[in-house]
Amino acid sequence: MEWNSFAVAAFGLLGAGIAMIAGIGPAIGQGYAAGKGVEAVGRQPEAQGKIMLTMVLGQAIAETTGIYSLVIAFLLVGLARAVIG
Amino acid sequence: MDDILRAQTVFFRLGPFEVNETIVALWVVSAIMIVAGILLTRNFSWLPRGKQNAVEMLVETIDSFVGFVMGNERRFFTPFIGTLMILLFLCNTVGVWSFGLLRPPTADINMTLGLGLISFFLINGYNIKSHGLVGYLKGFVSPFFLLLPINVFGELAKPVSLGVRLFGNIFSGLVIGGLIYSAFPFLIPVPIHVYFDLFSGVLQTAVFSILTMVFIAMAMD
Repeated sequence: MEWNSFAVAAFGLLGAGIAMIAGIGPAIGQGYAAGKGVEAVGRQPEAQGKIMLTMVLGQAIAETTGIYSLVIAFLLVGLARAVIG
Repeated sequence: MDDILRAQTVFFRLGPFEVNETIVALWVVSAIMIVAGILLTRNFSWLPRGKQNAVEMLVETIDSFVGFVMGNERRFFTPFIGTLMILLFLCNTVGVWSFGLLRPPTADINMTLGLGLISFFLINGYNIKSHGLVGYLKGFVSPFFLLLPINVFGELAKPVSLGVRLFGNIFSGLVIGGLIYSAFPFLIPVPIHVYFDLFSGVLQTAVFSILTMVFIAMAMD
C-alpha cells in the first residue's frame, strides 16, 4: 500500500477513536439529569411519572451530541475501510 | 461507509432492491404483528375474558400514556403511536425472541431514517393542519426573521436525530455484543444481552415514541 492511502486510513481510524471522546459529554449530562430526577422524586414522590417523562426526554436530547459523534466515527471508519479497499 | 453500514447478507434481489437481513427480519415482525392482530382481536365479546382482557389492558395502557404525554384531547393518535411502539419493541428485542437468528431491523439506518421521515411528515402535516399554511410559514420566522435558517435547520434535524439516535443505540449494542462474544463466548454475554437487547430496546422504544408524541404535540400547540 502506498504511503498516502496508508496515512489516510491510519488517521481516519485514529480520528474515529478520538471522535468518541465526545461520549464524555452526554454521559455527564445524563448522569446529572438522572441525579436531579432522583432529587425531584425524593422531594415530590407523587409527581414521579411527570418527572420520569421529562427526565427521559431531556436525556434523549442530551444524547444527541454523542450520537452525532458516533455517526462521525462511523463515517471515518468507513473512509478508512474504503481507502484500504 | 457502505461497508460498515450495510455489511449484511443479501439473500436475493427484487429488481433494484436488495432483500437483505433487515428486510427479512422486518417481514417476520410484520407477519407476527398481522397474525397476532387478527388472532387476538377475533370474536370479542361484550364481557371481556381471557385474551381479550390482556389486549384491552395493553390498548388502555398505551391510550392513557398517549393522553398523559400529548393531552387527553389528542388521544386519536393512539393507533399510530401504539403500532409504532409495538413495532419498535418487536424490532429492538428481535435478538431475544428469535434467539439470535434475526438481525434487529432497527440496526439499519435506512429503517430508522424511514421512521424518522414518517414522524417528520406527521409533525409538519399537523403543524399546517392546526395553524394553516400561513401560520406554519410564519412559525419559521418567529420570533424574528433572522432566525429563519436556524428554524429550518432545527426542523430538518428532528427526523435525522430521531432516526440516528435509534440506529446508533441499537447498532452500537449489536457491535458491543459481537465484540464481547468474540472475547468471552460463555456466560459473560448474558447480562450484556439483558442490558442491550431488553433494557436498551425498551428504553429506545419509549424514547422514540415519546419524542414523536412531544414533537407532534408541540407542532399542534
